[in-house]
Amino acid sequence: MKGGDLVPADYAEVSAKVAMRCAALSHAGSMDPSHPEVGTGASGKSAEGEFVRIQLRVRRETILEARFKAFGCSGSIASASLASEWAEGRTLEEAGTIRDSDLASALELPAARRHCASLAEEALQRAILNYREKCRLGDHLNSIVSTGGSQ
Amino acid sequence: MKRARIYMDHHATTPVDPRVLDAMLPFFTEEFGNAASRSHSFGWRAEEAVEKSRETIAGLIHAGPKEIVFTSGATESDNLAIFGTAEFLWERGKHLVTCGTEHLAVLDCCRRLANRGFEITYLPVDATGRVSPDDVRAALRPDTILISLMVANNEVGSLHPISEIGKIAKEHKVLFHCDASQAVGRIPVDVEAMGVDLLSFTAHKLYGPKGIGALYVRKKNPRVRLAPLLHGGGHEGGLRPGTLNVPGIVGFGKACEIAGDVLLEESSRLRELRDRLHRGIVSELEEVHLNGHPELRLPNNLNLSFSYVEGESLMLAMDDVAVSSGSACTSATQEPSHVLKAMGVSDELAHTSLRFGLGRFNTREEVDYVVGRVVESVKKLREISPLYELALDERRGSRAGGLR
Repeated sequence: MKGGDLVPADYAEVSAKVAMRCAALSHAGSMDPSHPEVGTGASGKSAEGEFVRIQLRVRRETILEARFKAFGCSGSIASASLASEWAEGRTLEEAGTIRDSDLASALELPAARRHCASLAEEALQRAILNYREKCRLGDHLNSIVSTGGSQ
Repeated sequence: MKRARIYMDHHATTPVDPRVLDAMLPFFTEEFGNAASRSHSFGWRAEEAVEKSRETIAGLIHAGPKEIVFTSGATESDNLAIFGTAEFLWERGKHLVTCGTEHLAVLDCCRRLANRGFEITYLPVDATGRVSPDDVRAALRPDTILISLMVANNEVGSLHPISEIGKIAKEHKVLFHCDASQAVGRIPVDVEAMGVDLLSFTAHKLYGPKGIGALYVRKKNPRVRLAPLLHGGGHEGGLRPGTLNVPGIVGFGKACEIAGDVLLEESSRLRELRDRLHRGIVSELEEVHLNGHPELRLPNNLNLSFSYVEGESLMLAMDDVAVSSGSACTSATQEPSHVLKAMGVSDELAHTSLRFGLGRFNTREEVDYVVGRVVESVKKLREISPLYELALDERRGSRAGGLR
């Protein structure tokens, strides 16, 4: 920290891109996590000042809808919003290739705020994983039902 | 359309009062003399202006003019008080007492001394940010040479029981240093009544210029002696060599003169505005927590935690209002404010804190505008906060559970 200010020495200003995105946020919202078409992923810890959640509604491997909620600095909020925007309309495989480095450069995040983009990437990956696990569990249950039980 | 910017960060710094600037200007031009030049009128006039200011500045804290040593600001004053005492008294003892919520200008000096073999006791604070005089008494040892505690905290504004601690220090013949950067000019400060031996303060927190501060060094009962940090001339009683910053000192003097005239009236006006800001916010928003003592704190300070909303994102959402946050995004692990942590505020809540610092030129209209901006921004950010959603779900769940 410096002076009478509360700002740490390695504090990095937010970019104009982050400020613009935060002023007109897209893709904020939530979906019922128990819905079979919805995958939910989260990343970060509220005690560390950052917690990001991304949800995807998927049909036939395509993300019909992506929504986020975020508790954190403007960089985290903007990253989660952009990751959701990019994921929407893509296949799960395509969305799985969205990287924190791409989010960070699109938002012109300074190096000290790179972790904001990493949180969004992690939440997105976990949402994809959560949806896939749901499908596997669903297939398994279907097979149990169609074969009249596994025993 | 460019929106007006409202400044409510007066704990960080204050604007220079136009009357202060007017007083300073001649000392950049026609009255440019060196106050140490004894051989001509340029020097005499500069010296006269410096000594007149020294008297005014001393008067504001009920000290004598010979007890004021000019420095570059409160950080240097803190360094001079702590290192100066340690170097002068190290043969008598190597133990200092301070507190976890001090400014880094004190904490970093203590850390440096600890590396050099001194022992430091860091006193705890209660949930309102105040130390207990009993804890101070219990921490003192035969080898304690200095107690260093701030008069008012720079984040939450809480006031330590300085006079009681001053008495304890006297009883035990231990020197007592106070960083009073936030207090001088905002609340009455009286070094005699408080029993303080060394007191740091600075001009830019009381509508004076940056780069000029002072250390009060008691001359009698007891006569405090320090080792200087800098060497190179006999200025300031040998404690702080270097050509005096005459325009800065003149500005500091004028700022103290104005502060002395308006202090009581201004502090009650700011308390009213501050309470109006607080009431306005909590009447429209739930789960807003006050950090700091509800009464025993600076009249212009309001430090609030807005549950479920991270402070830095809130600052950006209301970027036409200048405030500070106890949370800041850095490359390191997100460490919230050390002051809130020491007060036992949870990390999550510490990350949601904002500090409002009102000042001389803030108006009631500005306060009402800021209430609106805060309320609107917090509501917007809570809408996108997963923590808020979770809390609402839990509340609905428990309500449903209660009906069952």
